[in-house]
Amino acid sequence: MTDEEIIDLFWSRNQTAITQTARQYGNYCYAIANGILNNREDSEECLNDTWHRAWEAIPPQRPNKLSLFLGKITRHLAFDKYKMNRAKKRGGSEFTLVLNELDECIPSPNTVEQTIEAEELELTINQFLHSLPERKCSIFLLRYWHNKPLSEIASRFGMKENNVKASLFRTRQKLKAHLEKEDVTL
Amino acid sequence: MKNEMLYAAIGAADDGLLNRCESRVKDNPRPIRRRHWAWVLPTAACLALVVAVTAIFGNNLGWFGSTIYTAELDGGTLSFYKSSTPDAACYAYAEGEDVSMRSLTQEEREMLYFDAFGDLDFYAEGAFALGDRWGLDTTLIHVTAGSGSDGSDQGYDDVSTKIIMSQDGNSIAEMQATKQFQHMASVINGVQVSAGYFITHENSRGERSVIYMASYEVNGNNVYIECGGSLERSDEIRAEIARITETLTLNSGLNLMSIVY
Repeated sequence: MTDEEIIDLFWSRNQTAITQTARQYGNYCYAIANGILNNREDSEECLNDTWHRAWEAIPPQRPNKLSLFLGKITRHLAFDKYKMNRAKKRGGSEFTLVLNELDECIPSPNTVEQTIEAEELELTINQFLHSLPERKCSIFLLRYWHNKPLSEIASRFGMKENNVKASLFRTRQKLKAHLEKEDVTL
Repeated sequence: MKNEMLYAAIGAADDGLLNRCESRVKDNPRPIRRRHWAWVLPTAACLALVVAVTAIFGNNLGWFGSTIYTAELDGGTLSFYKSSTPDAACYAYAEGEDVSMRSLTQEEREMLYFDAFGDLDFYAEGAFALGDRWGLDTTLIHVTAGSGSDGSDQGYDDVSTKIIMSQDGNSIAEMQATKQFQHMASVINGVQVSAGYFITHENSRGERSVIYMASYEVNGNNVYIECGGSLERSDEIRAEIARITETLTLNSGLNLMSIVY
């Protein structure tokens, strides 16, 4: 089934859309989620959330490329879950509970100012990625977007693992210089 | 967390970039490119060695077919193998003041079956070791025969024939050239004959010669036969040495002791 046909199912509110999406992009999205969470149950939960988010977003959206659309949702959800899991690990004591309870009193971090800063950071990083040669850019994204192991990246590019490591190191250094030049502070 | 902010921001990479990268994710993994020379060189060296050894030995042993010539005779098939020592054959000389030479008599030529080569301008001489200057004690060293007056003034276009016979104990230097073919000897008239040939390098006129040789031992005597000439006449020369060899091997009672100074 083509992306267009699946999107049409979403638009006609046909629940087969989710079955077809899971069949076609289940493995792809699972790889993204598990790359971040490294946990089967969490990753599968993340996938279900992805299909649910897609169901809510389409319509009104009509993605040009369904895989990228779903991949971005999965990555975002998996990353949120990762942060939540990490907070849980740190927790457990009464003191942590107290702090978490106090969190509710703090205004939401997604203030307008912070959102603008995040968008500026995204824009700066996109500029940087566009300035990279195709090969270096893809290596960088495979590592920091798809969370692929060095060995797998090496295999896909026909390189030695050490060369991939060196390429990533140089790109990170360039990114640092780029962010400094753009006066971006994290 | 700063790294988390960065990670989240990378998540918003343009679709175009991700699309390009995604093709890498979906592609089948490519094999890792290795430095092939690391194993290619030793392998190539080994292969070259095997080829060289095979070429040298195979050529000498006639594995490739084209280096063996044969002559079909009534007394058997005489095979000629290509020699690895193209300078092996040489003329034999009996030199020194204690050596004397004379032409063989007609009777002696008949005894050695040389009369069969009446169609050739055939010379035959015996070299004798003299016990003293006055020839009171003589021993036959060898008999040299061939076409032409002395076997050395052949024109290039002529076919040169040479026969050397020696009693056992008086070795014939030229026979060394045919020793390499001993294990592939042909049987002609019941006699084991080692035969081979070699082709010379081009001379100043760009011409090449072929030398065929055959040797055998019979009745306690060594016999060496050699025919040479222009490479273009190779078939004719080979037929000539085959004819001479077949004739001489019929002489199973060869007795050089009867020839005295």
